[in-house]
Amino acid sequence: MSNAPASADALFSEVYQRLKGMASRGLAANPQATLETTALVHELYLRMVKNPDLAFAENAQFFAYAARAMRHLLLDRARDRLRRHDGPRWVTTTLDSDDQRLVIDSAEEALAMEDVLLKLEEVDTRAAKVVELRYFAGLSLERTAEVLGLARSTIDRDWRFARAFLHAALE
Amino acid sequence: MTKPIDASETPDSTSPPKGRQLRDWFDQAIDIPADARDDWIEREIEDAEVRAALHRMLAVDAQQGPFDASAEQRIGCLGEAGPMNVEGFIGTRIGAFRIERLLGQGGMATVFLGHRDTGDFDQQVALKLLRRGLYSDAEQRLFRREQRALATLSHPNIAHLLDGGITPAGVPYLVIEYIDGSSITEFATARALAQDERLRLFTVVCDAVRAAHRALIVHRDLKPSNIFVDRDGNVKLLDFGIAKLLDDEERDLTGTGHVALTPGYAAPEQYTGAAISTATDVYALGVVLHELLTGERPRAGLIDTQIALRGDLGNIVLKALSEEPERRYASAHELALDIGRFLGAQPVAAHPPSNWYRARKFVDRHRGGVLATGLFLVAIVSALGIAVWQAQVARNEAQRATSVRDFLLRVFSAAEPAGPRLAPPSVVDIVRISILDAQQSKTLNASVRIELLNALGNVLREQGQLDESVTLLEENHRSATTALGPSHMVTLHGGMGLARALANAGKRDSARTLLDELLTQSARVSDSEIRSRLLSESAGLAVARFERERAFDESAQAVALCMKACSEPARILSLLVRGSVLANFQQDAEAIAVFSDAMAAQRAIYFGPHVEIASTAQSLSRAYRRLGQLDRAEAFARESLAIVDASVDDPHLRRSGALDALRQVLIDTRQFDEAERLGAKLVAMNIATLGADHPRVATSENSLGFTFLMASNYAKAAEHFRSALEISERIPDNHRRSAIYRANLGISIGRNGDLVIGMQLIRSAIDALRALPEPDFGEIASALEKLGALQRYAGDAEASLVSYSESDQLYLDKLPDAPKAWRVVTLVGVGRAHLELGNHAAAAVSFNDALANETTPADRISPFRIEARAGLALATLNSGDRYAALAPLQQAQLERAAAKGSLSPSLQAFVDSVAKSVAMP
Repeated sequence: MSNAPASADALFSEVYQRLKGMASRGLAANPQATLETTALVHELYLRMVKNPDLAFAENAQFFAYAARAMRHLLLDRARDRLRRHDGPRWVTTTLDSDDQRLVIDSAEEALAMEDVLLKLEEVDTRAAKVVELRYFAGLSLERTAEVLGLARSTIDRDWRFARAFLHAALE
Repeated sequence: MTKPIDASETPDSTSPPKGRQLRDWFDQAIDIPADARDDWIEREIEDAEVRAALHRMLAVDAQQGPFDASAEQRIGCLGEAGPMNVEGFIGTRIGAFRIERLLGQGGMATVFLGHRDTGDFDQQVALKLLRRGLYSDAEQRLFRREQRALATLSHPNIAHLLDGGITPAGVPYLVIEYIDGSSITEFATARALAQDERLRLFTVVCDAVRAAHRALIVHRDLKPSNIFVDRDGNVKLLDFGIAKLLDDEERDLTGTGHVALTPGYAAPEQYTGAAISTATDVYALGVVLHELLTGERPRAGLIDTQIALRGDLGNIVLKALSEEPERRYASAHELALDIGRFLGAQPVAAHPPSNWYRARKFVDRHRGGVLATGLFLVAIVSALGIAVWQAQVARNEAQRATSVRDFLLRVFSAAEPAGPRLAPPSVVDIVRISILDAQQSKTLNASVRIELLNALGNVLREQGQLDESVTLLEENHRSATTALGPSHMVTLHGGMGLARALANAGKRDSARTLLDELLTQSARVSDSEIRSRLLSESAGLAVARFERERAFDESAQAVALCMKACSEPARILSLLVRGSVLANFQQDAEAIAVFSDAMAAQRAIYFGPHVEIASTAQSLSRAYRRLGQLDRAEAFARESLAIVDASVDDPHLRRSGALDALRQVLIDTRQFDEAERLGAKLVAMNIATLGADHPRVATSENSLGFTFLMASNYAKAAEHFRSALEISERIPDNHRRSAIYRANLGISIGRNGDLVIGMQLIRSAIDALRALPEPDFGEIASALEKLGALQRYAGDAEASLVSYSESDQLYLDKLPDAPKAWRVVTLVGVGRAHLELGNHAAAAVSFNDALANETTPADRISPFRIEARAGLALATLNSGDRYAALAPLQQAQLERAAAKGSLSPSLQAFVDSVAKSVAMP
């Protein structure tokens, strides 16, 4: 692994922070699975911070967990938004109508994105993992390559295929 | 759970053939020039479905799509459509400000540059729009309240919060002074600051943090990006208290306990959800300091000792970064002071962890987190401390440390709830489990078992379970004597704990016999420290038994022994005991000298304020109070309280001594209002730290009752004495204390007008005190005085005389060494009874006796002296010498005037009536 310890550490922090930010903003009514995954990331992060030797062994796992946690979060949040849309008036009236339309569209799109991502997993598992790390964990392609231990060119191709597949499927 | 990614896995092997094909075709297609692709696909691919899919994919390949943004952006959009729509905000207005451009976006907020274009002046501000909407009234109220608190924070190095509010759409915003500059680390790099320049810059940061802490605002998210330096080199801290502003409502809404924190800068307690305090900021300051000096954050609490952080500077950073908040610098100020010392090439306070610290860490790691108070832990750790020490002495006992650890693990796992329970296990619960385990365990060797049981017995004693403690420690002392020998260190330590338990349970004779035996045994040991401790313990007991000579002798020996070979804490202990002996026998000036020595020694071994120093300051306060130097007494009491306030959380047990010392001074200076407030605080604090049924809660209720009694507020006094009594009666075998409280309740009820019930209570208290295995004659005499007073109020002067005379007889026969001032109340009572009965000569004798025994300095108010003088005037007058009555009367009136109305109404009425009689021809 070529990345220096300090920068890897910074990356963990950043991904972790992003996850925390998302978790704090986007928890659904009964997000049990999300919480468990988030707790898992949290624990793993702490373990890595406490024991730097573990960091290299576990960073792939960490980012995989983090990405999965974020994916759960997003999905929960989107479902929650749509549920609230159908729900009691007092919830929906807190947003003005334009904003609300935007939110609903965004939530529906998020669900659609999840559907096509599931399809991609059937077609090309590795490309789907690249999407998880890049889209959900927010890693650069360079980082994604490092985390997965693959050549950068491979990852570039995976990503290009994945996003074409996904965007085409969404149309 | 997600399966970990295995990079060697071949994902395609599980893919359906069509997907595989699609991928292969796509990879080939993108290598072909774009304008030739369509033809290539039509030519090469037979499967129409794959062909169509590939066309679509290549069409979107060049376009933007939803996966090009990030999940974070989308979730933000789902959360708050408003604030996330950054473009939409530019040019709009919030309050008096127009939004000009985006300054930055973080997890919590979006920051814009705002511009005030109304009014006469131009102002640029940072407008911080929080991402979370605050939709409920309660959330909005909380936000506004916090925001008002922050707005009061004014410091040249803290970016000022100018305004804040909530937009009509429910978006909370803050208006903050706009700082044009860079983060402290960027600034230091850009200017290539030298190490001492960086350190000086950093102390400015510490001082700003300190100012905020004084306003009770904790930053909670200190990091370089929140510490700005403007173009002129002025430090400006951003976002003070904002983390909390955000955190509270998040906790409420989600119930997940997720908090806003920045990994890498967040202190351990922020992850675990433990209390956030000023120490949390000290930790973050430590990280910033590390980063400022080395360019990198410390990794996992390990600082880089190779490069810039060797020696003192490393120790400073390490101390700031201690995992436990209490091991860090007590404040940002102390951190700044230590850096100042480093810059001045003076010795710093920070030092590498000691063995003791390591031993404690060892236990900490295994304690399982079930403790309600620290007492138990402290005792166990002391036991372990001995164990570790002995293991070093005798290597063949190396297994003892392991067996102690295993024991602790078993105990704590047993104490952990198997199912839901209403409350955490109490300390006493845990101790009882521990005792059973220690008694039954087959792995503990005899010596370790005995040590543990000693420690557990001591905890029981401190928890007020006196009989249980005595039983356990007695049995254990017997086993120790048999198994290890009577002069073994463990036997002696255990015996000392037993002696104290016996003394606390009122069995002072048994305690004396035991301590004498231990002292004899200790003469065979070469260790002067244990002998000094035993002598100190014995001197303390001698004080309680009024064995004046012995107390003096033994406390002096303890000090002398420690001059040579003791550890410094043991020497300080011997000084403190010596001081208390002197103080208890009215040699307050000498006591002050000894306590001052002890304090100087403490200041040398503890850096800065320390609770042990606070405790010595209390002793000094008490001694000065008795000397009548009330200014000094009050100053030491207040210093003590200030040290405690700076050193421990609130509530904390260590605060009680300081509160009580100040309360006593305030009674003497007759500042009853503050005394009552302190007394009430003490009660509340004891309840919070010890639980409602602890003996010390009863003691503090009793003290509060006494404060009200002195302020002549009898109804309130009765209320608190009753509460002390109720608590005390729930504690088994606490008859002595219960009787004392009952007598106090009796006098306050009686003074409040209900004489019959008051007298009944006091009589039953006296009976109880007499029925004790070792009667407490001092308390019996005191109760008799109370009974005598009520009897006189009830008009039964003869009964009153009997009670007071009986009390006086006790002082003469049973308490010859008690302070002579104790007799004053009784002698005044005897005099008053004689007056009522017409025995003027006898009355005069008693009042003169009382005045002779009075030790309160002349410039201090003593209600009993005033009463004795007035009584003497009346007795003299009634004997027919009106002229001779004038002198004591005038004295009484002078002292009464000095008391400025703080005397009880009945005493004032008495002085008035005497004055009237003397004046009447």
